[in-house]
Amino acid sequence: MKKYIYSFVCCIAAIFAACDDVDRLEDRFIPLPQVEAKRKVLLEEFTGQRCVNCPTAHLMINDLKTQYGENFIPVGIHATSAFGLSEEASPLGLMNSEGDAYAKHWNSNALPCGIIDRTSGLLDYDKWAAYIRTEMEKEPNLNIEVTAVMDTLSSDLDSLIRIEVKLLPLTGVTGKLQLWITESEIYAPQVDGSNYIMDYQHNHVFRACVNGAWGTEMTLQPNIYTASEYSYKIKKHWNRKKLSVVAFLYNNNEGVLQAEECDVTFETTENN
Amino acid sequence: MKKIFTLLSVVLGLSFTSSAQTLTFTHDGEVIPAGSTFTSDNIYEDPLGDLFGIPDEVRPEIFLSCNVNETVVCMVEDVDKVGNVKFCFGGDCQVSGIGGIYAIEKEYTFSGTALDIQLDFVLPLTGYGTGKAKVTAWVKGKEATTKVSINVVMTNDPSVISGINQSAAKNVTKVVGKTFYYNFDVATHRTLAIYGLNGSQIMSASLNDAAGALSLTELPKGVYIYRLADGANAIQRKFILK
Repeated sequence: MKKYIYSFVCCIAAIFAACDDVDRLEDRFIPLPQVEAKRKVLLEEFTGQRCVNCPTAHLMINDLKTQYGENFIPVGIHATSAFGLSEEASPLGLMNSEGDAYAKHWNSNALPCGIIDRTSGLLDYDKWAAYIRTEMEKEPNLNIEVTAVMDTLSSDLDSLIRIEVKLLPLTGVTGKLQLWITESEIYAPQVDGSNYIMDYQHNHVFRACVNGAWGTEMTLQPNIYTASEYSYKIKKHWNRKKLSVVAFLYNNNEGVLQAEECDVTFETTENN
Repeated sequence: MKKIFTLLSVVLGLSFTSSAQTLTFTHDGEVIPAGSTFTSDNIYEDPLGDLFGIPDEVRPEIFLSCNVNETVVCMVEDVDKVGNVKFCFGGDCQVSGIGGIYAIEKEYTFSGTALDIQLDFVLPLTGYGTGKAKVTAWVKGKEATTKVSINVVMTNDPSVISGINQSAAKNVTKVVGKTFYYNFDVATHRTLAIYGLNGSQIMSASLNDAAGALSLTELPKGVYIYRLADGANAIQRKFILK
């Protein structure tokens, strides 16, 4: 009898001993200090209009943009024949050959994924926030100023963008300056789960390279400004009021050293 | 006292047993037994397929359930290494064959509800194609005790499907893609007639075997009615050719 009572008590004790001490709800969450953004961070997001789970990554980007504002520069690069829709087949398609080439270069076989400042390697979207935060707190050795104006005085009325870039190095820097055209508020098809949303809003979409797929070689001396000008003729089906220019300087050792973005504005004349 | 202790031990034992992790594959609410082969000819035509030249896909619509809130690992192996087996499992989507990868492994943390594993096979733009995948799932860190596998055949090839139909449900007729399939208990003389919506007969055929397939590729896209009769009985159904 005593043996059975003892065994019973041991069973009950074992059950309760297996329970963890649970902290109070307010003790479980450790708030992170506000990030001090010292540089701008570039996210190259590989995505596709037929990628069923890519809208989840788009929501992540929206949240990060809300959090970090102009310090966070996302670019949506539509890629892969398995998940993309080609711009060559229809203006509803957002994939172009340059974007697809970037995806192949980084071995982006699974979408959605992204590369941050060309130092992170390919990351799933649930890992972007932590990496971006760390990158943003790094001291830059370079600043970039960029302006882009739609040239209404050229013979190609309303279709030529003139871009001015100023590179402001704090130390000696060697790398490549890359300029891209991006477009936001594009309403085009996107699969979300199992169905298409035909008027899905696509933002920060990579449209074209201004100065070649891999940019222009630059060797910069400390504290000596370098200015350069570029132009690009846009495609007729792009919305010229929703275009931006993304500029960044990178090298193979350090990745993206700094990035900058500006909206394309319209030149006003004396008659306006 | 001895009886009370015995009863309590049984109750505790049952409670521990029921909390063991169980992974189950299902289709349309029906369990796919572990180790079995599931064949699908469920064709998905992309609404933008004609505009962008996108091939159709076979979409088996297989779901995975886990009865506890755990991180589940799911792996899809392209058995014949033909490529074009697409797999997402709630996360990033990948296609076999790209980068020389024919086994794709992904994780997902469940909340207890069945999850569409998002497995597809991309068909060739023209003609027939068959993709075979071994799908395996296990609870992360507990592979030895929780692993379950099924085999999945995804195809639009009538010869593959009719072979499966031979051992599948009898007395079945259906139109898949542009093929009419039939499978009956016994062979007898049956006549198949196909009509347009205006009632005009468009084609007819004699079906003397118990099971087989009839090509409808010469018919244009549209809505039709087929009537299959064996002298004593007849069935009539509407179908759509896309």
